[in-house]
Amino acid sequence: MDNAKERKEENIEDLKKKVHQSWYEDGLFEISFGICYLIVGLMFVSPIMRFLHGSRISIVFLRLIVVLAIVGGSFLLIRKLKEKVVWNRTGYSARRDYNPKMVLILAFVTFLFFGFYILDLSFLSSGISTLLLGLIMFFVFITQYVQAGKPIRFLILSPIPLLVAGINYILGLTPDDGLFLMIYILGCTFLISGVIVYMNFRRKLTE
Amino acid sequence: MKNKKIIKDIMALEKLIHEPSRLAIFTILSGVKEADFKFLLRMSELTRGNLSVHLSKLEEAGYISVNKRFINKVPNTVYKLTKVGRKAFNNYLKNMETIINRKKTES
Repeated sequence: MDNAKERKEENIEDLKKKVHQSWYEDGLFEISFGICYLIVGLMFVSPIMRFLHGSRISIVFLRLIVVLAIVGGSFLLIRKLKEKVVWNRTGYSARRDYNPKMVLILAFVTFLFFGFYILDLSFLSSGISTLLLGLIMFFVFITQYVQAGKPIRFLILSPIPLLVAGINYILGLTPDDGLFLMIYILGCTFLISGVIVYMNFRRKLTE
Repeated sequence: MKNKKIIKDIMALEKLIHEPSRLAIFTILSGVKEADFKFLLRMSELTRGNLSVHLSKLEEAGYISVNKRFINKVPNTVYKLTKVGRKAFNNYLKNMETIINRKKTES
């Protein structure tokens, strides 16, 4: 036998899962998404909203910006935060460029997003369109749950957008107000969850 | 006869990958685009010396590429599976699966 240090016997699948989870174990994923959600939410109370208000095309344009800002901004922020806060302690790793399964899931989510825009414009009342958004966000969480090696916290977070969408529907909020509420509740949830995970992660590292 | 075939398949397995510590390194590197020494150390739970020796062997075989750089004046070595390394690892997994399946159908 090799003179290796006694290491826990792990099979290939366990080790693969551990590597996948390493990207999410520090909570910076949620913190970055939370920050981006809250920043994007600020747009709704800024004067630009009053300027755009009422125009159907501008609402679609705004939603597109919301999606791009949250997804793009979060991924840039995660990398920056990891570089500053954790890589000097945990070591650096870069994610693989693509994974065929993930490409399929992303294509499905993108399809749902565009489907949502088209349906929202053409057929649906504002209440149902918000419910659809909740459903999309639910799928996003489930995707993250599978991709991140099934950490239970993503499964706990997944019904929140559906719940918020349900509340929106019952209260009969407009799409703008509904989106604003959804973004702020999700942003705060992400941020709180991320900070708790990060505190635990730091404690584990110092032990 | 069938046993002989299985033994032949086992003998054909890439020995450089089959060693448990190196198999762990391959598994970790196959899940990421690239990773530094500290990350590999944490994930594999090997000692520094051991990890270093195994990485050198894999580099010699052309299975991983090594990139040395400085981050804030601190040296940082990044490892990445080469195309040859990724292909060899996939072949190894495929061969292993064949052996296991053959054994299962036999029993």
